Amino acid sequence: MGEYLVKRLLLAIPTVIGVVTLVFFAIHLAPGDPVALMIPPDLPAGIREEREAAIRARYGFDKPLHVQYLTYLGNIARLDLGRSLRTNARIIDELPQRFVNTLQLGILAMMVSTTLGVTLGVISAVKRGTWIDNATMFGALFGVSIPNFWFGLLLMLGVGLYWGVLPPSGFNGSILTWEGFRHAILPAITLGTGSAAILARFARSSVLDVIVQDYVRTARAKGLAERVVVLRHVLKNALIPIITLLGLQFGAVLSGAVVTETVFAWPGVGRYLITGINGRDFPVVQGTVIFIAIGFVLINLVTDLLYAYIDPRVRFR
Amino acid sequence: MVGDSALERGVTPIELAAMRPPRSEWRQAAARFASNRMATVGIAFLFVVALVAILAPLVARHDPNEQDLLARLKPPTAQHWFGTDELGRDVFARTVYGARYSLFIGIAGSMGGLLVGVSIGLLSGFFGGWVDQLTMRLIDIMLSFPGVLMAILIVSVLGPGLINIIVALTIWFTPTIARIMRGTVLVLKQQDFVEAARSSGAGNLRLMVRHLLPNALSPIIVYGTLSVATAILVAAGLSFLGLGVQPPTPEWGAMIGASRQYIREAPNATFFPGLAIFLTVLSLNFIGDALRDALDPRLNVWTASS
Repeated sequence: MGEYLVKRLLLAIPTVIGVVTLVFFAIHLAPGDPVALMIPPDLPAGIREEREAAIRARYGFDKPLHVQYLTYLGNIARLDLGRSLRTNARIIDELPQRFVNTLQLGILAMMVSTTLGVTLGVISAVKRGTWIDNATMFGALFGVSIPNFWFGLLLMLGVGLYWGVLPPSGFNGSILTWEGFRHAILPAITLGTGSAAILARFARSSVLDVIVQDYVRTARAKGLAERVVVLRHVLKNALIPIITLLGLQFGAVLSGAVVTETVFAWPGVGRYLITGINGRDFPVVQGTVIFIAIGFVLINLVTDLLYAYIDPRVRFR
Repeated sequence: MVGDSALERGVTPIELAAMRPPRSEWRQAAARFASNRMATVGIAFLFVVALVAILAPLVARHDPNEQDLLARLKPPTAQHWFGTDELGRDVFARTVYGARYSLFIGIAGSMGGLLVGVSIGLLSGFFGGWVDQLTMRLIDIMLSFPGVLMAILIVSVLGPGLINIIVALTIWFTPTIARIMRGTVLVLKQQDFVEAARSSGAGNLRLMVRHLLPNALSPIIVYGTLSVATAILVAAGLSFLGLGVQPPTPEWGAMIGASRQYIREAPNATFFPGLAIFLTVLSLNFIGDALRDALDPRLNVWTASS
């Protein structure tokens, strides 16, 4: 297991470098001058040129591209993502609290989607062909088809504004407090719905793959109760591929948070990114995208390790 | 390869005929598809949406950008079927015209991704070697951006706008499609019919276009249909965030983004464009699912997209 861990960690490094490289060149080789993108559009003409020259010097844009790239890589290795053009705050200082907020929302959303998705998927597979199965799969189609920002707005309008049982937006920083938890319910449902639908479909097909295996028939033949067969023999084996998908879904949830956070005024990385884009604050955009992508690489790493822990065959591949 | 043929293993011609897939698998698939009720509903609805998009000036009685500041934020009436928005514009007319933008972006974005992705996957899988290795590493890196983050990065670099959002969707779809295509080609490449075609003198181009591509179509068709649905959702989401199509263009996502601050006064201005997105995407998913069941029930294209 230790050897596998080291191998996986080493494999993650080129991916991280690749991510940084891609973001760097996407921004620097794109049509249009990145410096022009960095100037707030509302500046008067005289100050504009002055600011432009200052930025060129400060960010080293007067240097050749490969020098800039290596400098940027070096800075990232020292956890330096640069400073915001708008607030001059260090981006790496701004991100952690926001990331914790996004993570809290993401975890709650994953709890919603996993509980709902896996449970319904398993029931659907066990009761395949019945109306329960049909209704669940129909519901899952609804879940992937609904635009989540619209769904969020409807929840906010219905539950938050008209009915008034839950706060429509905002967050105090901790879902462990009662107020914070109440604020998180609607965003978590909004964010978790699409994922729940995908998980339900996947869990169903995963269980159906296992349920026809010989060892399941053996378990039934030796007289075990159906509940024991499903929980011990089917579910345990069907869960293995589901865990891989959970890791991928967690990444999708983190990026989906960009939209959900905008709807519910949630102070997370997603909103920080959108504020950065709208303010033409390009170091913030670059830093945040890299931060989220590296976070996703790490989540996948953890998923793989978990996978190898549960299914030892993986380690020897 | 020749020693492996069924005849040499002592199979009679009659058995061979029975083993051969029945004639026209496509026709069988079409029959399976036609018997799917959900798909019929989906196609009917999409047909209506497409018709409405084409005939928008005839369907809508108002101009989508005509403002009436005296009739702002009105609920649905006989005059304004879907009510009016924050500038007193007719929400029905805007939703009708919006079909043009959403359908166009969805189809263009996913077709762009299909075209580029299929080409890359085909070449990469066929030739293999270091080009393949390099392409696959690049794809791995692109896929290590979770969900729509890659699309957000691209539009934030290119700036908002109709064409840029299509470019963003194309780049975003490409790695997934290239990977599906490459995987299919790698399997097909090993099969006897490719060897047979090669030994009867087919060149690389002919092998790829005439032999590999048609046999790799099923997953591409299914994924293509579902990706139009995804493209419409993602494009609407980006426009909602203010990164896609800009107001006052009556694109569904942009409409919701602009009217959402007035959701308490006029929920209709947010509700109807969202319903249009929802029903259009649902129809496409009905069709995509039915196509998958008809063409290859073992495919699980849903998880490929996430």
